[in-house]
Amino acid sequence: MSNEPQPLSQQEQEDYALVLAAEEFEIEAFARVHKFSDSDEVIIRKLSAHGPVLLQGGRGTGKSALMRETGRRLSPAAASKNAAIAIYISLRHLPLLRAAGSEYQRLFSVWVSEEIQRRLQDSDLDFDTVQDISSLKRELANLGQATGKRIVLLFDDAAHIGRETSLETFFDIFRTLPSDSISCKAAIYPGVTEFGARFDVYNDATVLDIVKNSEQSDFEEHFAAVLSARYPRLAELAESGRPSSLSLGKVSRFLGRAVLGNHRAFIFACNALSAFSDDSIGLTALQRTLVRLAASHYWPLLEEVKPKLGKYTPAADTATEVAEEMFKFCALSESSSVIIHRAVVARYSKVFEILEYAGFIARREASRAMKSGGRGPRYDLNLCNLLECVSGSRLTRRLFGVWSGDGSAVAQIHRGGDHFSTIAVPVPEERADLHVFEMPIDSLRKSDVYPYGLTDRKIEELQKSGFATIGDVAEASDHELLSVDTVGEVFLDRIRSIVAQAVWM
Amino acid sequence: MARGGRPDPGASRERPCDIGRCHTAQSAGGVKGAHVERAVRVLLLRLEVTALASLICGSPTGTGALADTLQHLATALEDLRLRLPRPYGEQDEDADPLAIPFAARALLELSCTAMIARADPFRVLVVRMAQQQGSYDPAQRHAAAIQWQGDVLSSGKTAPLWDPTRAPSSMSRALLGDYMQETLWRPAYVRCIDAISMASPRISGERVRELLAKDERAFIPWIRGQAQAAYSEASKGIHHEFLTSSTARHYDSATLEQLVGKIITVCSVLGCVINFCEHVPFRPDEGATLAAFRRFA
Repeated sequence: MSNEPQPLSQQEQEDYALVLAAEEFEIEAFARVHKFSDSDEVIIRKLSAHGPVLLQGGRGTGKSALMRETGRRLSPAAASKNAAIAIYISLRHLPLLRAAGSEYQRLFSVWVSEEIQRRLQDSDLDFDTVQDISSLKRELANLGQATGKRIVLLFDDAAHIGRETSLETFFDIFRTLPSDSISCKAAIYPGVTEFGARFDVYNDATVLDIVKNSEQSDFEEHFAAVLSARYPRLAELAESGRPSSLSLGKVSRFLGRAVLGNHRAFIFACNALSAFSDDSIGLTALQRTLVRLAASHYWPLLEEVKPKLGKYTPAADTATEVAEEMFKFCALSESSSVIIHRAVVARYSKVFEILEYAGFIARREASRAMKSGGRGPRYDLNLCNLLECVSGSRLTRRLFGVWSGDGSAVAQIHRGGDHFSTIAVPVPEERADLHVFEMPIDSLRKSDVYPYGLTDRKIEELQKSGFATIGDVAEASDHELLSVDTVGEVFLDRIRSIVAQAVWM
Repeated sequence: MARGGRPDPGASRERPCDIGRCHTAQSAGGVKGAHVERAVRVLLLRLEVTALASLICGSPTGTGALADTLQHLATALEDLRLRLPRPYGEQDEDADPLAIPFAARALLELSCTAMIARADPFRVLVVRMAQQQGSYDPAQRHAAAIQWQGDVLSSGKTAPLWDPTRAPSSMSRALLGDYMQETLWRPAYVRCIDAISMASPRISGERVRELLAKDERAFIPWIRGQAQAAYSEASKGIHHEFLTSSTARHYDSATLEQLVGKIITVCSVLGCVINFCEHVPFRPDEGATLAAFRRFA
């Protein structure tokens, strides 16, 4: 690990339990609570090096954390021995979502140059606000000359499923912006397949898939470090040596595997486990944690994602049907892994990408031979939705052992079988904008879908002030929101954060 | 195995973790420990070099021209390998930043030549014979020489592959070209990933995960992209294109590490897969191939 775990105060533990995304931490707190495994360090080195990189992973897999950490280590204020300066730039900027072509290039140039100015504000380096890509490139080259260092641009939230309007222009920029003194890296989600006609994903970038896999040698150690850093009480319980308690390593490995190595889901799991563990961590607490996650995290996540998918919105309902069928089938043989014939996957391609994005499945192999002939990808399943389908949802000692290892049987879904035969293939909609902008503001009420959502009172106040939809709030200026009764600076940040969760992936 | 010796696939069956444990235990013992440490490091290097040579050059036996060529290439590959920075070679991290890309590119080219020799022996044997003629002049350009563009990557369009009017002379025999993809790499890749998936003990590591994430249609496009990018990047220093003081910015330690890692990925992965092609000569058996690949997994 790169940093020794720092004990957190009780108040900090409570505060940070509510923070699920790396980009929502202040940089000092970010550095304290984030732990990076050996395999993470390899990725950070790749992000620091020259050459274009696309960092690919589902929601909560740690893309932003790795990018922010690279930006932190190579920040303009960091030691002068670094050969590069890295600048982390979130592309969560609404106008970019709807633009394409030259308008996108202009908005992108302005946004990026202003972000760079913000990062350089404590230095004596200048960076002009520019309106086009050539000027941006020139300013970056000047910055490289002035510092004698290579400039690494880390574009977070660069590409999403269902948001294709701007992607072709973005990947054109990504391909042409780099030079001997400028390196570009971008975080993208699985399922992003629209790279435009000029971008060749195999030749124009190295794609790094960052999904954590329980086969990695540092998997258990990594999640044990995260658990110890953010949940010291749970770590103490696990290390207490009580006969009824599972060890820290076993708990961390199992929970990490249960959520397919997803950091955000792991934090949810630890929150639930804290509530279910009084004086030890046993199978019952783990069982309740997994069942809680299935009901209050994974299924609501599909609901949350649905209005953000643009033309693929109908695929979210199909994803629910496919997941129900697949998890029931695998639970019969207690298989935590499944090979699905590639023709079936091709038929429901967006559906599987959505399930992967939402953390129901993680693709581990692209092509495995099947007993009945043919080949298909192998997916690991999250153990939360799997346990939900096991008889009685009971996590027995035997099941815990099987699922903790990598020796569970692999189920197979064949081409000619009955699976999914009654599930219609979703047809993409003709939709230019995201449905989420049209949703009424009361959709953001606190619920399993939006666990940190708005109270009834705040919703009423916003409605009274004329904010009818999520889009109205998302597009409102700070001044407009601050003019609402009872909305001060603190609530302004909170509402921005809630709307960001609703709008962005 | 001494530098210059022939590859010994059996040596690579030694598990690196066992050697690592011995290393740690002995190194605590002062001067004697330092000697052991050095000896173990050399042994580890030799095992890794041997493993890479055996993947790429196979187990060439006999006294024929092809075996002799591959034995020579295996030796040259080992020499180049030692010029890479640790953990792959013997150079320090802060070695001459222009020397590393040179060694890395040479290793990549040499590896590709060895695999061309196994995939398409005629191509390499004619070059060998041309070089054996009394008229061979190293100072003169030879049209028959192995070329990156043409012998490794195909030059020109090949689609549609199976056009009935296409003559064999217009079918590229490039190592990473479309025809070689269909006739050699694709079936070999399927056999290879099936063997890796069934291997016991399981083979795990970043390179294996990266490999298994590609299906047989994506394998060659991916490796071709990696090879081309690494070749171009390494060439910048060789042709010395840096006309400003940007060498240090471009060839910093993180970038060189990635460059060398990428070239090792290309060579070890292609070397592993080619041994699963039924018509390639001097193939080590499946167990020896996987044992050698395990060292780079």
